[in-house]
Formats: sequence, structure tokens, C-alpha cells
Amino acid sequence: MTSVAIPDVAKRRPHRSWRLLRVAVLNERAFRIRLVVAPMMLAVQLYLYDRLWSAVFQHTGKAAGLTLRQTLTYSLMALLMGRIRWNARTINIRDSIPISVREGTIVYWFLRPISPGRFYMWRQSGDVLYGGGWALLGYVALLAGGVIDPPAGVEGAIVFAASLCLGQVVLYYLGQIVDVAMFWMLSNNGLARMYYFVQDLLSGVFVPLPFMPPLMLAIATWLPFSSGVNVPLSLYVGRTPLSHAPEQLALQLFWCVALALVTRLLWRRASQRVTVQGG
Amino acid sequence: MSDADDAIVARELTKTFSVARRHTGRLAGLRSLFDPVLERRTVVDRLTMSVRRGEIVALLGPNGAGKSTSIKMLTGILTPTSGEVYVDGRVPHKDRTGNARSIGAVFGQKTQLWWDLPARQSFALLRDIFDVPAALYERQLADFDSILELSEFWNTPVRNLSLGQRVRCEMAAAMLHDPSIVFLDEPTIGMDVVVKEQTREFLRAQVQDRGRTIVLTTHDMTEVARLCERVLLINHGRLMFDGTLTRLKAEHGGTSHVNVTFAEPVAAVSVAGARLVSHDGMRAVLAPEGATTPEDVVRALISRFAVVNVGVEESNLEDLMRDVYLAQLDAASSASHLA
Repeated sequence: MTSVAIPDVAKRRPHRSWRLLRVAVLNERAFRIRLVVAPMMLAVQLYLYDRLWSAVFQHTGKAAGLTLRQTLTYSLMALLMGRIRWNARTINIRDSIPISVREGTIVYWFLRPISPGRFYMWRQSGDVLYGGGWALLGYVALLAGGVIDPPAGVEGAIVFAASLCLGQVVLYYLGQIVDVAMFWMLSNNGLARMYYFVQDLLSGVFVPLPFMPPLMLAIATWLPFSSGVNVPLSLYVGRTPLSHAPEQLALQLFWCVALALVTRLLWRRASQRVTVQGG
Repeated sequence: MSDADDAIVARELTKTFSVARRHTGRLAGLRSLFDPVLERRTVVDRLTMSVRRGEIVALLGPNGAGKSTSIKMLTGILTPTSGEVYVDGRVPHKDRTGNARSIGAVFGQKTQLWWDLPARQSFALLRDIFDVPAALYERQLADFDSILELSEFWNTPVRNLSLGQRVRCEMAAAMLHDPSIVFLDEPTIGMDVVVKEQTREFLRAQVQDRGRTIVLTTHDMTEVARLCERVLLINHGRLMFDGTLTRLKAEHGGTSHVNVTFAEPVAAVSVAGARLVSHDGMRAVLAPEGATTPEDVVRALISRFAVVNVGVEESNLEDLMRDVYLAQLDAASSASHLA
């Protein structure tokens, strides 16, 4: 009889679960048409936004404290940043939490030697890296075409990169809260759609936040959404001076820590109630 | 703690769910939302059982008996309301990651494979998740392929596989990391007989050659008869029977029925060692009793009557379970009368 014990060497091996990052690319490769549609869709969006803002600024040099050039840079980059987490918006992805909970396959998330939270993190990170690749390509193309401005020097680029990363972490945790809410709901489609609309609106993806009416701007500033897009882009286009960067980065860091604690608590509660899968 | 020879030990295992009952009448939806009425429902009730290492055990019961909930507690997915459970010496819900290395599971039609990727890529992802060493991974794949013939279709996206092909891949996925204990919750449901037999051969090999412990839930009595040495019967969350299938049949009217159609009406049907269940002139149903086998009854009928059709009908699982349940009710009723 062959021994069935897991070899000790296997227990000592470092985790290779990071290789789940590749699922994002493998999924996209399974539907090759997406590789054509994604850049086309992005190009159309960028073109339309460019035309829209050019029309808005036809009779004015400055609006909401921004020039046309700043506004174009802000809004086109906001669109690109929206692409980063495009696939991570898990409404219809088969191995997402909502679909897994609804179909009952979530049970397998609890039968693996990595926690469901870590599995989620690797899958989302893969999607973000993949989406980030497209966003970077778009950014380089826009820069090369002279459509948007480059960052304000090396210091500006470093501050923007740091703020962008922190902003993505904030959006990752917010999306995770919406996903994990599925453990308490029969369907979170409505919640997810509402959330992503609010996130895009209050983070600055649809319209730069400085164009918002004062009350909405105040609300957006007090909520974590603006950390995702508005904070890094305001630093990039110079609407927020670099001298204010430390407090902006600290605010983003605060949201990262606070939301990390909330998601940790939610996962703990969720793992106590894996009952939605039925029979 | 559990005995070292026991792969699984459950003592007084109980699971109770709170179920929200809907209000009726005006504004029922709103009232249910803000003032839900919760009912406690016990799905598994003081289940005590053990499974020894290298054993293949069938966990049987009608729909809603508590089989799947029991399996989910044994796999650590659900936390028991009370009682103790040890799987491979661990408390599964308290050490889920450690437990995951010791167990594998297939839950019926629920897939753990990546739907849009070829099955082989799912295997590679599971290898990375479970940190399966390369040599073990290749050996496992070759081993599984030799019986399940996976290589014929493992480069096909899972969404394009037939049910039988997918379930074979699910079996492989569940055992890729070489678990010592495997839980199979209705794994062959909806499969054709050829694939079912292939799957059974695979499971037999896993127990005999690799020493795995298998807990199987199924409604297929043929599967139980061909695979399982031991049967655990549960109903209403309680263990009703623990023993061999032969003993289950013997104790609870292991009732094979012989259905016979005569060439012409027969006034009286009598066969030694068989009880007459029903008779309407042209047709009769007889139940073998004691040491008499269905074949003995068939031979006796053919030798004594002009028979145009005869068949043996095995009692199904539902009949057996009903008999066990009724017998226990009778026993409980007698005990209360005596008291």
C-alpha cells in the first residue's frame, strides 16, 4: 500500500498560490475577442471624453479651477484608472464571490490551504495587473500623442505612483466589502451596480470632482471613494500642490487600514455562515 | 481526541440553523425585513459515528436527512452548533487550512474547476494552491489518467465537457494533493452507467492501492452495493443504522420482490420460503423470506406454473430507510408503553 501522507517537503515549501495571478490572463485568453474589444472600447471612451471636454471649454479658459488641459488629463486618466479594476468588478465572473456563493461552489474556497481572503486577493491582484497593463498602454499612447500632460517632474511622478497604489488598495477593499456582503444576501447584483455607480461618481471617474456642486464635493471628500481616483489625479494635474501630498497620502493610508480591518472582520463573520450553498 | 486508527470521529454532532419565517398579510415584506421571526431548525441531531482509516463508507438518507450538512461539518465548512468532530486528528472548522491538506471533496454538480479554462490548467492552478511537488503532481495525473482517461479531454475548456467528463475531472481535482480522506457528495448523479463504473473502479483503486478513506453520499444502491463495506443511514439528522448493507437488508426486510405474470389465471399461489405480497389471478408478487433467495422463488414458480414473465425487483433505498425509521418508531413507542 502506498503512503498517502503529504510529504513533509510539501509542508515546508513556500506558498505558490501567488501563481493564481495568471488566472486573469488565462480567462482573457479563453475569450480572445475581448483582447480586441477592450482596447477598442477604451479608445472610443477616450475620444468621446476628449470631444466632450473640448466642447465644454470652447468659451472659457478655466472651470472649477482647472484648465482644459488639466481637465482632459484628469478625466482621460480617470477613465484609464477605471480600466485597472474593470475585470475585478466581479458581477459576472464565474469564480467571483457572488457567483460562487449563488452556485454553491464557494464551499471549495474553504477547502484549500489558503484562506478565502487570500485566494480573493490573488485573483483580484491578477485582474488589477491585467487591467493595469491596458491602462498603462493607454497612458503611454495618450502621452505620446500629446493629448495629456506628463507628471510634474520626478517628485510628482513618485507621489502620483504612491497615491495611485494606495487608491487602488482602497478601491480593492471597498469592492471586497460589496462582494463579501453576498454571504448575507441572496443576490448582491443591485448592491454591486449601485455601489459601482456611486464609486465612479464620487471618485471622479465620470466627472472630475472639482466640477461637483459644493455639497456633493464635501460628501465625496469625506468618503473613501475620492482616495481611489480624485486624490492621485489632483496631485498629478497640480490642483492639489505637492506640498499637500503628505496629508493626502496619510488620508489614503488611513482608509487602507480602516477598510482592511472591516474586511477582516467581515471574512471572519462570513466564514461562520457558509450556509447559502444549500444541499 | 480520536483513536489513531480513526480517520473521522463525530460525537453528539449537532447543527441548528436559524431560519427566518416570512410574515403574512399587509406589509409582510417590510415586517419580515425589520422584525424577522426566526425559527430554530435542527438539521443534524447528536450524530455519533466514526470511520476507520482505509474504509469506504456510504452515508445514506432521504433528501433533507442531513447528509450534506454532516459532510460540510466533517469537511470544516460548517461550524457545528455543539458536539465534537475530528478528521485526521484535527478539529476541521478550527484548522481549515491544515484540514484542507488532509481532505479532498466533490460536491455533486458543483465544480471546483475554472469554468472557462481547460481542465488541465485547473489542475495546474490547484497544484499551486496546494503546493503539490512537481513529481507527485505528475505521478498523480498519470495515475488518474490511467483509469479515468482524462487526457482525452483535459485540454478542453470545462464549460465544453460532458457531465461524465467533468465529474471525472472533479474526482482528479479532489485527489490531486493526495488527501488521506475524501468526501464525495453524490458524485455520480446524472452519469451514464459506463462512466459510473469507471468512477467506481477509480474509487476502489484509491481505497485499495492508496489507502484513502472515502465517505460517499448517494441515492444509488448499486453504487453502495459495489463500493461500500459499511452503511451509515441517517434520517432527520439522526443516525438510524450503522452496519453492512447485507445486515441492513436482512434486518429491515431486505425485501427483494419477485413479480410474476402467469399464462392463465391461477387460483392459489404458494411457494415455500416466500410470502405472498399480492395476487390478482394473472399476476402475483412474492417476497423471499429467511434463507430463500429470489432465484429460489423464480425457479419454484417456473417449475410449478405456466409463467410468461418473471422479474426480481430489489427494494430501493427509500423503502429500506422507511422500514428502519418505522422500526425505530415502533421501538420507541413500545418503550414508552412499558414505561
